Amino acid sequence: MSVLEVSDLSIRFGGLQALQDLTLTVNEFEIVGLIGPNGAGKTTAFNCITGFYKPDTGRVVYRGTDVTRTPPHKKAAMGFGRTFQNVGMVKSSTVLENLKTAQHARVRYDVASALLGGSRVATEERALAAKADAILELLGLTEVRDLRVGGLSYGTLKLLELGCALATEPDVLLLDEPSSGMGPEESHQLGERLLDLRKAFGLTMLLIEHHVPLVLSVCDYVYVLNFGRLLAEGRPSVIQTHPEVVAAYLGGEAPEALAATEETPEEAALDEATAVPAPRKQPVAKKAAAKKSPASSAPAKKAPAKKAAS
Amino acid sequence: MTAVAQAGTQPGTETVVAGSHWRLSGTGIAARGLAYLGLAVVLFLPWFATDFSKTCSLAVIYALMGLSLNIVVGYTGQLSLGHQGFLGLGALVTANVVFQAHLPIWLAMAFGVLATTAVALVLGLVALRITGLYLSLITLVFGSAISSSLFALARFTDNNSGVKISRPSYLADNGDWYLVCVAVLLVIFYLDYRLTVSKVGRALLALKENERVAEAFGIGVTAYKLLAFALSGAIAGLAGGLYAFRGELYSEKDFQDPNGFTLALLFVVMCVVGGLGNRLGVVVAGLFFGLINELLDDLFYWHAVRSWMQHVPLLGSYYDSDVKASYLASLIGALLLLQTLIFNRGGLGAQLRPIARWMTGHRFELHDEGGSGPAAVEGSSVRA
Repeated sequence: MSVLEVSDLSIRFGGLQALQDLTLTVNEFEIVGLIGPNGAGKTTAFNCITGFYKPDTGRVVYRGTDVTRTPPHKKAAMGFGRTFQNVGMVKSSTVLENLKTAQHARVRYDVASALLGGSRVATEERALAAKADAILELLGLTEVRDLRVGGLSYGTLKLLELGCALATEPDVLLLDEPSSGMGPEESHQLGERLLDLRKAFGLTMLLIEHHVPLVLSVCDYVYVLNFGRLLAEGRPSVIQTHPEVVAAYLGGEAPEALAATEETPEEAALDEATAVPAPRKQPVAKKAAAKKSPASSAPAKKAPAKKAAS
Repeated sequence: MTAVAQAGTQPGTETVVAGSHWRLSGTGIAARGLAYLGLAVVLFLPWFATDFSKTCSLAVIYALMGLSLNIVVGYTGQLSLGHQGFLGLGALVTANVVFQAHLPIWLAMAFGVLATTAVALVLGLVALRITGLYLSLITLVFGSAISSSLFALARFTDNNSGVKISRPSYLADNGDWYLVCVAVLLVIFYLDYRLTVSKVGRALLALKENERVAEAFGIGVTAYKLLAFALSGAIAGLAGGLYAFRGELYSEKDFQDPNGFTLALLFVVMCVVGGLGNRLGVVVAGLFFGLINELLDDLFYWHAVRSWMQHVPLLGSYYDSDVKASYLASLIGALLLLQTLIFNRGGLGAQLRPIARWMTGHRFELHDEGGSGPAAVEGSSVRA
């Protein structure tokens, strides 16, 4: 069973069709990339999946449960961890306080006992702090523990935000441009870190990312969005050379690509292949994705068909 | 704070909260014990003076109102201009339950709290949809409307003569009631402290800053906003009950405009001058503003003061006029507000922080500012 199954997700803002029939699947322990030019609808997709937007149509299924209409805070409690494009943290608090705040859904004492106090609450508060310290240790950020978030550098903040997302004890992690504000060296480290985290916590990830080397190095599978529609999907190496993707990023048309991908037998083969649920397996980057799209010579499965239809 | 510097020089070791390297000495404990004893004595002193203790009860009630409003303004970041409505409603319900149903005083106060909590929840529901300036406008209208309609109904005011109630015999003395007020204040102060150091305070702060981030952290916006309003309403209701029994009278005029609006403004000024989100500062400011009205009034009855005031520009007009000293108090409030907003955004709370930290067993440091240190954050700080 896949962790996250999004089908035919559409949302319209006034005259703008921000998302149209987005379908994507994230399997256990996979790191799936969601890429696309600015304004393609990546963050909108995130917001729909995490419950911040209510999609007009379509479904979001998490481990077999329909969570399309579940509010975001409940999804966080279910195991959806997410980060934001512009750093989602409580800026006036310290790093430690933020990491404790992020564990909100895991706190077991209720409001009444919080107000009355007592040893149980104190014990749990200490446990929250200990967990926060462990996360800081893991990220190598112990020295900022008692600093206020507002004064930290952007790169540190992005990393801390990842720490906060981890503090929510997620099952699936949705990262919105985790490498923004980082240099090439830092984002390389981030890639290593994401792979390590997946191994350490058994995480499944969906990430929006612009930094191509990072996507290539960590993602098992990539979905490409353009103008709210799925343009292509496949393994990173395939996506990298996909003519339409290249065209979408650089501008212009790709008629040859269109023509080249309208071969129905291959498409059918791909559909058949992806319909088989991939068995859960330990995260061995790239190999996991190889199973998902064996017919990797067929670059795109949906976008060309839609273009032909419209 | 030194924790950061220390952590910087020895990375890898677990950073500990500043001050915990340093242990309290025996004399330190003794000195703090003495300070607490002194504080207790000062709090207890008004008990001996019947008239003055009545004034002090009012000051304590104002401090409670400060804590109540602080939850809405300081913790959730919404401005309420109608908190006198809650105070009045608490007083109305408490007084009428005693007067009409002849229930015991504590039960009546519980009813008062229930009523204000319920109404505050309704206002909280509004606050889920409307925020900022428009919410302030709604609270303003709420305070004004409830005091001119519900509060003035003949059946709640004993046919407009004011509901006269009396305290039970064991609390008949004003000094005794003052002690009750102080006890309530201490309990609420503790609960407020618990709120800010637990998940509730963290949730409210996160909500105030960024609802989306809060939701991503698993914090339910609806539940916590309503909780904040309910708590605020409950405290105000309690203050209302104390108020009704303080004067042993419920009179709607106390809460009707212009008195009512003056009160509402005073509560807001108290919160800002005390330091938004800082319970100690708010309580001190509440006590100050509660006392200043009456004390100025008393002052004006001294002939020496009156004859001196004749010669002071602006103040001269107060002499021989019907203008009450409370108007001078609001002038002082305005000046303090300006002073706070321009020079001292943290309010009284920020000024008192070194003392408060010392009292809670930390080292006395005048400058622990600079954005570091959990104490600087713990449910405090004004965000402009």
